[in-house]
Amino acid sequence: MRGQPFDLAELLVPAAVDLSATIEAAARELVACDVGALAVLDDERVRGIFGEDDLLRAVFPGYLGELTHTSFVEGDSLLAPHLEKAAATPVSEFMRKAELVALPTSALDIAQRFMHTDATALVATRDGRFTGVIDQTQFCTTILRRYGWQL
Amino acid sequence: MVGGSGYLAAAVFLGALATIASERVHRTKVALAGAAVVAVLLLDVDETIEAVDWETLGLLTGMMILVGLTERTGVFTYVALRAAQLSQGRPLRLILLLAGATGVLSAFLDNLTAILLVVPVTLLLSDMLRIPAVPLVLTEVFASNIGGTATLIGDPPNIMIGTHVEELSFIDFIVVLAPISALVLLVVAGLLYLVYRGRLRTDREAAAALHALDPMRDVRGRPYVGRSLLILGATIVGFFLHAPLHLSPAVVAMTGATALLLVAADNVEEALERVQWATLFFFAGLFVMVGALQKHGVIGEIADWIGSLTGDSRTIEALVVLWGAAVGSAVVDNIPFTAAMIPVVDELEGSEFHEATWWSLALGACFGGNATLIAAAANVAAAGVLERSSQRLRFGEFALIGVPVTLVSLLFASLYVWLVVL
Repeated sequence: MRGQPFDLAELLVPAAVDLSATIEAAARELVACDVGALAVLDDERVRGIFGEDDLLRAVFPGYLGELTHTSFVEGDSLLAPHLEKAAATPVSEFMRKAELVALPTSALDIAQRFMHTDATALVATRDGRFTGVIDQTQFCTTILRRYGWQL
Repeated sequence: MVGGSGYLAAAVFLGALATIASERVHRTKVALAGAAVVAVLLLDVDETIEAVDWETLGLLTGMMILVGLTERTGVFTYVALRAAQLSQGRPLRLILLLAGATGVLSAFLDNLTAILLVVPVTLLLSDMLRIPAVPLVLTEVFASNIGGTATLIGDPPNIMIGTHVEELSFIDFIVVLAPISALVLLVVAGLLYLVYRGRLRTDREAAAALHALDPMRDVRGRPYVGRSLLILGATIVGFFLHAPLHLSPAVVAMTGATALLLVAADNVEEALERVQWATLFFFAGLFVMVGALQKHGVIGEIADWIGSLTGDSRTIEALVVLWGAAVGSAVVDNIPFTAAMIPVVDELEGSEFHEATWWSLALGACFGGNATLIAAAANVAAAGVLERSSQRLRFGEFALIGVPVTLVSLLFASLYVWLVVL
């Protein structure tokens, strides 16, 4: 099976927030861009990445990640104070180190990066400057469609 | 006399202690780097291998597997949750029950594991009860260090002493150290209540919400609950019987761990992920550094110096070891300090065996672990859990209550050693 010529540029989403942006602003941007993660920029320099899992850590109590069991807890009444606090928290407190990929590169290189890291999104740069975010799901579906899969 | 090699061994060890205390580099990296230096320059291969206390590593590994596999059953979460429910949200009961539950879990699992199990549950409880988490977490940290003092397997200093001194059995540890640990735990819980009672008041609605939880919900229907508890229980019975059976505690722990792997682990690789390799390498590195201190006469010099301070008085010797171990543990970390002190006490003993000096070392190192945030592994672990939940436990805040708690504990321990043990 041969696929159509593949252009990485079509995968790049200019999804980014400023280092000083709040978690609430970042959540809005995630929804608006329809990607799993945003680059966190400081004067066009990539300082980190903020994804859906970081949003989860920011808005839910951190101790949930430490508990081995929680099904005894009913309802979501504990959530409100954490949401309130998280809304105004700067994204820099929950961002993580970005997995950078320098363009130009190949689809195989991108796939290898996803396989070898926990990242669900890569931050693409060209000549050291932010170019866009490559979302894992979009990357996979685009490749598969190019090779004729009906998704 | 200590020569150039002795000074080098001492410099490497003190440098490692200072770096560990600074918390700038992971303690395992520091211990391994120190071990590498002395292994290359001061010890031969056989001496390096002999310096490692494999008994301690075996006991730690066995307990990590046992507790890691039993933890999946949810029983430890159940214990912490049930203790909080029984308090009905009343501050005194809450402190006593959380301290008691943590103390007992620490005594029979190990205090680091106990803290990692109970602190996340406590953060959830504090959210539900709308009270600050830090006083409860501090209560548990102090209780874990005190409760861990009660048994051979409860606290790393005791594990090292218990595996090193063949004359002291698991039952000896309980008979001598459990009464003083229980007494000190009660006194410290009372002290913490006096300090924190104003911050731990809850409203009825919150207490009712806590009471309405079903703590058994996570335990019911989980696989291997019965088998895991049975084998953990049998292993603890094995610890009680290790002396008459002529088995070392490490063999008991590894036998229990192997039995649990056989009957309650579907995936052995996943089960072995519960072994904290960084901790084991940390211990190994420390043992090698201490081996160099011993070989090149530094330990002997320290023992002679302590001997000259105490004269022939066994009472003064025991009290110097008790308070010295507490101060040393507070400043550096009770694990490396105990690793270095064990051969010192060996030298002090000479050909005679005096239990009291060993009990003093255990009490000093374990109770001293409550003085500062860096004094015991459980303290650092609790601070880490808090930090991952966006809460901060500062060094000063810890010491402000930790130092008085330690002083009170040591006063009781001194009287106990003087009046009962000696």
